[in-house]
Amino acid sequence: MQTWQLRAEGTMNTEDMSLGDFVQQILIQLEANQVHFRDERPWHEFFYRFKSGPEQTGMPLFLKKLFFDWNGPYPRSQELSEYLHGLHWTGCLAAPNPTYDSFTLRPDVREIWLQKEVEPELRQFLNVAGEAARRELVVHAS
Amino acid sequence: MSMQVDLAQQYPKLDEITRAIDGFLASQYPAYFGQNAVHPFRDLKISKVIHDSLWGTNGFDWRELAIIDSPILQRLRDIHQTGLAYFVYPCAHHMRFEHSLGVCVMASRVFDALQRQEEKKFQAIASEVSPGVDPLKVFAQWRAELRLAALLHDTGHSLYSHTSEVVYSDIPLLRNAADELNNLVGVSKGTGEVLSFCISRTSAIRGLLERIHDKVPDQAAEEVEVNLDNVSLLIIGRSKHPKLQFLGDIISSDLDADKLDYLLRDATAAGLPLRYDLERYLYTVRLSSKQLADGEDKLQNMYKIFGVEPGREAHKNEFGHPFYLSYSLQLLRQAASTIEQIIICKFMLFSYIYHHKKVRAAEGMLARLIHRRVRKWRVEGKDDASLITEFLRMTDHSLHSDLFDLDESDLDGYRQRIVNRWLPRAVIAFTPKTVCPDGAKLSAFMSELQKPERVKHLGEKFEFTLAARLIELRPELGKDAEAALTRAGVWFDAPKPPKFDKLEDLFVGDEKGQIALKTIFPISSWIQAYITYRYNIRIFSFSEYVEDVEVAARHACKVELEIDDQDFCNAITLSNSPNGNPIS
Repeated sequence: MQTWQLRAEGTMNTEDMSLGDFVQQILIQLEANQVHFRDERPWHEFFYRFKSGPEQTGMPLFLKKLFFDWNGPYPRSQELSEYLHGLHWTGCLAAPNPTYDSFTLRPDVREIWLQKEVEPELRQFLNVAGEAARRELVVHAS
Repeated sequence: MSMQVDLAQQYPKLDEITRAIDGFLASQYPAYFGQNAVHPFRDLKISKVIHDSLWGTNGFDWRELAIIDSPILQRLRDIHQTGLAYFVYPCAHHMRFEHSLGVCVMASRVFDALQRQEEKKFQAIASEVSPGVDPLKVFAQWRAELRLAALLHDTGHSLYSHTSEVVYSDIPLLRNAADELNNLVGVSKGTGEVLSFCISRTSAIRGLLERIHDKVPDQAAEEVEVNLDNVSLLIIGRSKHPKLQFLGDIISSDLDADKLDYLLRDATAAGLPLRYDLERYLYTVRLSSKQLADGEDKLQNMYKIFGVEPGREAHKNEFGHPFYLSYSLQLLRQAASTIEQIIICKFMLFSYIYHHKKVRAAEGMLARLIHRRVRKWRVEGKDDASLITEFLRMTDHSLHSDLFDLDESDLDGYRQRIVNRWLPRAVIAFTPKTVCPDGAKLSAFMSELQKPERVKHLGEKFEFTLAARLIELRPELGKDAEAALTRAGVWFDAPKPPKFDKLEDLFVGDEKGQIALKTIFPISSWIQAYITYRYNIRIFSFSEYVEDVEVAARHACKVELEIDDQDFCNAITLSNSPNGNPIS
């Protein structure tokens, strides 16, 4: 099945990938794990580390340009925050009511996102980022 | 008045806009802002009283009155605060002008409450920020700068407020200036705020405030100094010193004076019974110690530029960043319900007013008209700076002027339709929760619209698919898709959802210290659940094309969303046509 997303976007590459695309690709790799939601700090730190760290092969260009607000104890990307919340209220993520501590990606949405093609170099970077995300963004049972 | 910092070298786009505005003001209002300006003619009264329907009787001092009486503020008398919302709420005729005065009143009420309730902290901050100066004089200066910032905070608005902002936000010079401003102050700000920031930095404002010193008794003129650099920073929610961050918060934050005014003003004018507890807000407002991390040295640079080098803390904070200790605005825990009211009020206003389908219909038409005006100006050779000043020239009455005699056949009658409220109808509408057997596709599509760089493209794609079918059904609309859509008054409407991301960062205080609001109640998630059901994507059409647009829009849904289901089609169709399923 070829979805509108594929037709609209073609193969994703480091130049064109947006923050939203990147978040989707990370969430795909986290599969059905519970991911931090109410406490957004791990998300902002995760992205800021990529922005402030060394260049890596296959790293999408948007990461270096991502803007962070300095209005609290840690840097915070408004764009990231808005997109994460957007995924919640558009129904892509399921967050348990009433705590909303964490969320999981809806499996049927994941299936749609999985159809997007990714250039090999970018794929390599996404695998590295996915590994880091599993360590930092997944809520591990204590 | 102290010398103003020159931003020209490091921030050339901000400087270019500021200079363009200065040129415009001098030529448009020579008697006020020209080289031989004569206004104000006579000596100024030390203060005057202005009565407001919302906040009652309030005094404004001579410096504020000079700004209020100048064309920069007076033009706001002709810019509706809630755009074309008066087509739905006939009494919503309030203007940016009274809102600006209201924000000034609210800002000083919050300030006065803080000064009363946080006297020791005020003293300590004054001695750190202005050592050796009489604290009362320092407090008076903070208050004066705060009130000027409040008065000037909306001066960047153009006709019908946010409707024109949607259009001028696309001007590259303004977008680049916004990037510069964000880098300067380390927080993301919109293009409207860029214009207000630049206006506050014009020679016009500075010259006026210098000139009027001769128009008041010496004693009054020397009583309180103001620093216009700080005024411009306050407008965008910053301050010249980290310990004064709370002043920036009063003008621009989640608990700011802007919100305290517009929530009540918009609701009251529209006749909506939405309220929050202002008395409790003022009773519980406090200063709280807050870390401002500065990992990219943006704050250090900003404080340096504005002549203050407060020095960051010697060690890094728990998250590994260098930081400043600041004071921010905070409410005590007893005001948790007040915060709840403020947040819920804001989202109700989005649902009831700003995103009301008829308001969106009217503003969508007007935005198309303004877009076309800009396109014509471009053809005539106007550069970005000139376009920006054209927007500052325009107010709501410009809609009736020859500026909008555009002489373009597909737009024929647009202005007449707007003025007479012959508005397009919403033909189809869907939310993320619309009944749909393939909900994942709907959610994925809606989430794609949340990517800022994709929303325009997806909307246009939908419209062109719709247009192709519509032209088959109504060949008289012509073969050109864009013109056909314009003639039929058709567009894909994806409003910007209300922002609620910063609610995560709100703290309340009690005897045990600070508690994140989100640990008391997950307000942000409640709001998201609310938006899920209240956020609508709509397709509009002029009444005379509704039936055919409905058929074409269903076709576009099938193609673009890939949802081919009768129940979904019925659920999204709003008309009473034989094809549709009426929804009350």
